[in-house]
Amino acid sequence: MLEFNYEFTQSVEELIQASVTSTISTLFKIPIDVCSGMGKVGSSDNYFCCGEFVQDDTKATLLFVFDRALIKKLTGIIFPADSVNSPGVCEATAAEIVNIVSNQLKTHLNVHGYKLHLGQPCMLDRAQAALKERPLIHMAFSLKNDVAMGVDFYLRSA
Amino acid sequence: MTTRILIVDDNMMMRQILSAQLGTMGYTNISKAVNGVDALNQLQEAHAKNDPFEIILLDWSMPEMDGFNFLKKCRADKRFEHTAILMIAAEGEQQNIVRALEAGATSYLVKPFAPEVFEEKIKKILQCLKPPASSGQTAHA
Repeated sequence: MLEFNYEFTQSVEELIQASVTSTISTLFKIPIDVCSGMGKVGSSDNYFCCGEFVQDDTKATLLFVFDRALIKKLTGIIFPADSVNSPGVCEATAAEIVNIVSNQLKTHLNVHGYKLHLGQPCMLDRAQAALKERPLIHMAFSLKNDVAMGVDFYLRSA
Repeated sequence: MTTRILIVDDNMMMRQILSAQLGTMGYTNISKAVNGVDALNQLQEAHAKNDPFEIILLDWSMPEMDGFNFLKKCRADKRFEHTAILMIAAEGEQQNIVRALEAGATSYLVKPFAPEVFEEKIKKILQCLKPPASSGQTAHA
């Protein structure tokens, strides 16, 4: 059973923050900043993608909320310009970011004795994402002062 | 350059990044596969045409057949036991990296990576590529 005390929760938050910023800057060569406070992704038209971890009766979820404009921008850095209007290409961009950060989190958790299985990243629709309860960790990231991405970490026991 | 390279990754963005980086290094003879099954088919087809791949860039986590199982199948097949395999995966746990190297991966690169690191890995692998008769073991780059 996963049990997170304050110090460990802090270490997970720091890991997610470092992993997100380094993944975005390494892959796309653009800086993304952590927002102070409870920033919320502004657009009503977001991409939701999550990594899910399972250990016995415990499930942890790392849910990413990407502003559509951010995903289009990142996709346009890697692919030809007309690809940014393809939902499949944009979803691949989101999924790879989630995959990398989730794997780094899995490594961090395993080092601390939590042996978790990580599944493939999966896209969610707005309704599915809205069903999630209060996260253990909420973080927001900004691009040029606009909140462009939210990352929530959920922990649930059956 | 004519080095024949196969990129195996289920994510199209990673396939695009790797293909573009190889392109800037001068490698244009590149094929792509979306999982281990697809990759095995392409390997066998290339071998049958006497135009084998020299380097495989292999992701770990993929549907249908993951990179680790593909790696084991490759190394168990005499035709592909000397093909260089660079695993490029988000999986960064030390014990799994060791497991992949012990199973026959030539080298391992954890995502995300800087282009210079990738280029260096490819150069080292190319330096290690030897004719099958010269060595009974797979060199690690």
